[in-house]
Amino acid sequence: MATELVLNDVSKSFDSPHGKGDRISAVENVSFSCHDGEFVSIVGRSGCGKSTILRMIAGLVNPTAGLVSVDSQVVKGPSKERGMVFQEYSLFPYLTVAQNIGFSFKMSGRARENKAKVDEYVRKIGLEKFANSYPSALSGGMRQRVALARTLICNPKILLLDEPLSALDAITRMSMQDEILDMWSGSGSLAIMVTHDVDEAVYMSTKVILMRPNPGRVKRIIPIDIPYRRRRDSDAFVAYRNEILNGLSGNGS
Amino acid sequence: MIRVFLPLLGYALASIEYFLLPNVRENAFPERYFIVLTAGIVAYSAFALFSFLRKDKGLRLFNRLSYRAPIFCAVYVFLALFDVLTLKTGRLTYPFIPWFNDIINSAVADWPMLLKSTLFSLRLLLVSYVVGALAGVATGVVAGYSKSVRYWIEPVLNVLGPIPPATWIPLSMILAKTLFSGSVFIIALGVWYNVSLSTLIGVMNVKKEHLDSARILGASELQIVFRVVIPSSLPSIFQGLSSGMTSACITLIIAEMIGVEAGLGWYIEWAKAWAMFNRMYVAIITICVLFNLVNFTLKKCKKHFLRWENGN
Repeated sequence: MATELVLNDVSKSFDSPHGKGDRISAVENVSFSCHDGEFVSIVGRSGCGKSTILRMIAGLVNPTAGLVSVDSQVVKGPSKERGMVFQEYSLFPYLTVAQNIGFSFKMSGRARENKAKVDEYVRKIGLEKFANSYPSALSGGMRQRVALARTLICNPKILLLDEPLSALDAITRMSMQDEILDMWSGSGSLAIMVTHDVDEAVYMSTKVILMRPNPGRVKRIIPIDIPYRRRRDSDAFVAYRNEILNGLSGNGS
Repeated sequence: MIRVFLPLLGYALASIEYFLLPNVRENAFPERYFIVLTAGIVAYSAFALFSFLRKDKGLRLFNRLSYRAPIFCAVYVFLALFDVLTLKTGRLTYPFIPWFNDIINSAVADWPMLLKSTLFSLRLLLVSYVVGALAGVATGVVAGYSKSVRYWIEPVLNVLGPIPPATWIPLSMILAKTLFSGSVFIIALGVWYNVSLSTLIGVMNVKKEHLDSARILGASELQIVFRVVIPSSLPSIFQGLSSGMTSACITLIIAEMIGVEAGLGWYIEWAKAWAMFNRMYVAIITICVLFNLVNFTLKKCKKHFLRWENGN
């Protein structure tokens, strides 16, 4: 079943924290579309509204103007179809690994019939020994694997990743990039990731959306045409990286 | 290793002192004090032996016990010194400061009344505590959630906060239908204040990522309250429950001393009025044991409910 996500002229502004009815524009006139099988990275300097775009797709905030739609249905609120993995601290610390992964089933009152599925996902991320441990006993990489499993167990049409690896050390980070890619290609869904790491974006994505800040607008959309497993030292990789870095540092429109 | 035997030495010292030195006053049922001393050392030895034989898991227990051994020994040394100063020399004036066997004798003589008072205090404490804690969690959650409720609740908490709950006791004695319900209200007020403040702080500090994750994973608003907001706030709630317990214990004793005609606080006042000072000591020791037990239970609950805090 094909999935298509469309952002049509989306803008979002917030009330200024300094009051007096000032509005701060976070995102202005953003339009793009993508479909299942794509891995899209949104890259840009801080303040370019990357996370805001992700939160609008998730349905956690509504756009001030414009529409976000999935398969011609306008997004109005959060849904399991659009799963999201956050930067850090999104696991419930008072629930065990297995309970965290099975959280969505618990909420829908179908925890018992999905017990085997939870076990399967615990195995999938290699944490059988930690199934009954609490997140405080896990390393940063393990925690993000649990967060990923908790989201993927709902079979989301769209997987939203909000800087999911930025709290990890460099080595864990690289192996987690492969793990995420494996899970994504296995499911064939649409993945959208926010990152400020250009290497990560080139390594993982089929398409990079370059944003420019104040207010956040789409600057360029760059398709990355290298077969997976990519080598970080190949000429094509370096060329894409330079192109994106140039795009980020340049201040033209 | 050797230090684990220290309490035996203290026990020997206290027993020899008690039986060998001559008394300055007549000491009825002298064996009772000795039975208490012996019961203490038997319990200690049994515990030490048991933990020593159970090697694996017991060893940690045994080490902890032997770490604390000098303190147990000191208790016996203190008892021996106290006995010398009271029963053996009379340096501390009877009847204001009785010797230990005299305290035991008065406890044995008056045990039905003592038990009744203890149970009354315990019941009053628990009823008020549960009422105050539940009301506090409810207030904290609602105020943490709703900005408009918080607008009205916060000044109330800020103004009432510095007033010790005991201030209201005389007023509640006049206004309440029964003394019991009046005291429940006053004791619960202090618990409510502590718990609602800490719950409010906990609820307001719930991480946004937790709320967002729960929403995406299909939690309803009610589920978010009970499955995310309250469990996330538990560490903060338990801080309020601890300070609430301290407040409840203080208010309970004051309420019993000045108004309620039952309970251990009243027992102390009553014993004072009849100049039965040894019974005051009995009540003080009972209060000490009771409140320690209550706080110990609360600590165990906290450890259980917050077991997720430090990884295991």
